[in-house]
Amino acid sequence: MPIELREVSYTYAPGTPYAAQALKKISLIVRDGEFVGIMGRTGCGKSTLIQLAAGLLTPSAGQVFLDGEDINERHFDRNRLRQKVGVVFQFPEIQLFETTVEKDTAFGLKYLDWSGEKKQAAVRRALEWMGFDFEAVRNRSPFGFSGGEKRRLAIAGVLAVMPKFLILDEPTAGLDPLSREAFLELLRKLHQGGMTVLMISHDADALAEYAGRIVILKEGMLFRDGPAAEVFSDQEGLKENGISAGQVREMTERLRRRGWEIPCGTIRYGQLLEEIAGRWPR
Amino acid sequence: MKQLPVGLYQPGSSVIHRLDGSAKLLCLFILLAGVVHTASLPGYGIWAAFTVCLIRLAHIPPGTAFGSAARLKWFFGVILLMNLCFYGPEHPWMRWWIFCPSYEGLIQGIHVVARVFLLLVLSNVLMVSTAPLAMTDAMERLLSPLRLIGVPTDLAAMILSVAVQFIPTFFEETDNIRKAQTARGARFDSPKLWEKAKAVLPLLVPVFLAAFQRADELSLAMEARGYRTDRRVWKKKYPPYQAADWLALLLCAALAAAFIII
Amino acid sequence: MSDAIKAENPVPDIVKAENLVHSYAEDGRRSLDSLSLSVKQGEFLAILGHNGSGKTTLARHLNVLLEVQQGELTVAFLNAKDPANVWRIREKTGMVFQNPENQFVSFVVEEDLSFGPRNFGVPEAEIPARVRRALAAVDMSGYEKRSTHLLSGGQKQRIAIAGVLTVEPDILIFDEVTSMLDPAGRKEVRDTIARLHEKGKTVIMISHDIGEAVGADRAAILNSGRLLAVGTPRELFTDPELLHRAGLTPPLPVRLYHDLRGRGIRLSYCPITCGELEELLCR
Repeated sequence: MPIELREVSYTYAPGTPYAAQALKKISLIVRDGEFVGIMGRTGCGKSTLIQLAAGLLTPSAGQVFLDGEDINERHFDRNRLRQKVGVVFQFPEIQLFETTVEKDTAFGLKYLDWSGEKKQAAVRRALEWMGFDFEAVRNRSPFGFSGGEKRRLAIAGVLAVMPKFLILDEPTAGLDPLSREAFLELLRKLHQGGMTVLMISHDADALAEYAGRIVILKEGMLFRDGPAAEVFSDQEGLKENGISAGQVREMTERLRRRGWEIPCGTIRYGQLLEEIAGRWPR
Repeated sequence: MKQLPVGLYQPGSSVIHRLDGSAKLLCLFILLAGVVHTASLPGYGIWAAFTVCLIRLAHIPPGTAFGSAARLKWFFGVILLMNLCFYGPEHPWMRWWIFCPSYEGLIQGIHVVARVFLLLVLSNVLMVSTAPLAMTDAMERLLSPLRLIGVPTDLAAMILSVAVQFIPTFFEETDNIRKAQTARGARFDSPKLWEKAKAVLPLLVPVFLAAFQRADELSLAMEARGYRTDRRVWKKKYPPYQAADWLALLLCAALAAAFIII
Repeated sequence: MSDAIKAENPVPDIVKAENLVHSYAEDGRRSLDSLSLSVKQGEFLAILGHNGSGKTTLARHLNVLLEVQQGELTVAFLNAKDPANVWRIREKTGMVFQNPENQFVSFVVEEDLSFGPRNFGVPEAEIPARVRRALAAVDMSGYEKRSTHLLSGGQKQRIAIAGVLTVEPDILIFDEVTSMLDPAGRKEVRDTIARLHEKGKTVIMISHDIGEAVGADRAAILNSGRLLAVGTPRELFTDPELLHRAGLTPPLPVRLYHDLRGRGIRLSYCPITCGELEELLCR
């Protein structure tokens, strides 16, 4: 089930002195099973983009389709949208509010006509996906966990409805290195399990490692859209626009400039290691 | 920044901006006293002209100046209708069920709306042209006589100033949490009142927790920057009023007095 | 200063902690455990560790935001256990926090920057000059009248730094100040910190990003409230095993060096910056 944005524009506070156009005629299709990284400088419209894709904002112009249906049509079933598209906001740990982990994780299931067993199984699965032992945490208060754990709990609450489509806004911001790696591995597993992932991040190294496709926005318009290796190849072009292609790509560039014949699509750590080892000694 | 709450300070260097905060606040009170005592349509006309002059003097864009009042158009409509329909039952144009619209009612409605409208716009001019800290200083200055009876006016002013400072952040955060919970299936847009009420908890708990956390962090930062409530190291000396401040006060007083006496 | 004079007048320790113990909870779980550490005047010290390692607890001691429960602590040559010194220590140490938004007391840059000096009783007439100097130091001259809400993340954090500079402290403490910023903002703030250090401030930077600590004079690694290791970045960061124990990941060049070694490729030393690795590979 693809999500398609067709010539979507969005203006904040239209008709007031604060009116600001955040997106200008963006067209984008995200297909089943893709892992798309979205990049861009602060204020480029990337948060607006994912909120439009998730039906949390209504476009000022243009349409958003889920499975070929316009989600902003009056007759469109919003509940279906909520169940198919999970959204993890920046610092999602803030959205925890229930008295126990189990209740909080089950919050999104409230309006689904699933049986009690099915709901509990979904909660268990979501918590286990996020690396928790269901029995050990189900009756604990979500507020008694560390920052990184709370974030995983909050994400479990999004995953409980078993969305086909997962949208994340800077999910690793503020995590320490090991939590970050552990989280990205969990995300990889979800993706391999068939989930379509759309992730905003400034972390080019993480996107190079995990995302197959990179979309870059600039001032509300599409600036780049293509396979990660291709988009990050143009390191200079990205840098001029204040976007880093990551440390690995930076190292590749340094070596290329010194005469190493490493392809400029070398963006992952493993690739770089192979390239250097395979060409040594020069 | 999604939607800025109207009434925020906009830095500038106009005559109005440069007036002393407490003088401006006093002027506002005096003007409001005058507005409340206005009893004729031409009177409101004079006030409207005066207000427009103020807005021009302060270089405030009309959208900003009238924004907060314009947002209440439905409220004004209801007030006008209520007055029209229920106010003067002596000589109504007609009677139907409990409604008795009359000329007096219409006039009374216009009076109320005009007063509230002027009140909002004048306050807005003050808010937009006065820095929040200058505003809290002004309140502190006007309240300072209370210090004699042991009221910690500087503390109150500080709390107020910081609270005002956080309003935009608070709005933005609430909006984000609302969206996050909506995405999880919460129903805020449900037409059923009962579901709407039930949906408040997932919004309220995070909003409060976030506000507490912010307050906690801010208080640490303030303490680190030397703020202390036990002893005020910095004794504030208020600058004396300038000629412009006295002139503004005099002008406002004269205008208001004219309306009160007439 | 010639070496002879240097030897006679060694740089004094501007911060000295001995056997600091701290526990937030009644259960006695220690967030700082017999921690001893000193910082030389003018030094750039990076304090590293995963979340919950005790970094922030230590930082809050340095500004007496937390009282010393057990152990000894002098900051800016003042005994931190003496309640009479609290405000003098806070005047000598400026602390910048993670979230810039939660540090401002006013919408207007100039008014926010005046907050610290006013608290410490700086004469009103002197404040505008201090504000100007502080803005220049963070490369934001001319921002006096701007609204803090309309700045970028990096600019907000630089204003927060300027807000402590107006008090003119000797020691600057940065508690994960870049972790909420985008790459451009991070760079702005990192460059600002480096410049302040060059101008002679003692800098204590708390972080979990090793990349930010490579340029420090020394680094200290904390784990469960204890000092795991202290030394130059080169000494510490070239030891992946040590970093792993502390929940940190080695910089890219160190990782490559070790993985290449595993494949029989031996470079003459372990590089900690991309520039060094480049030189080694292109020799």
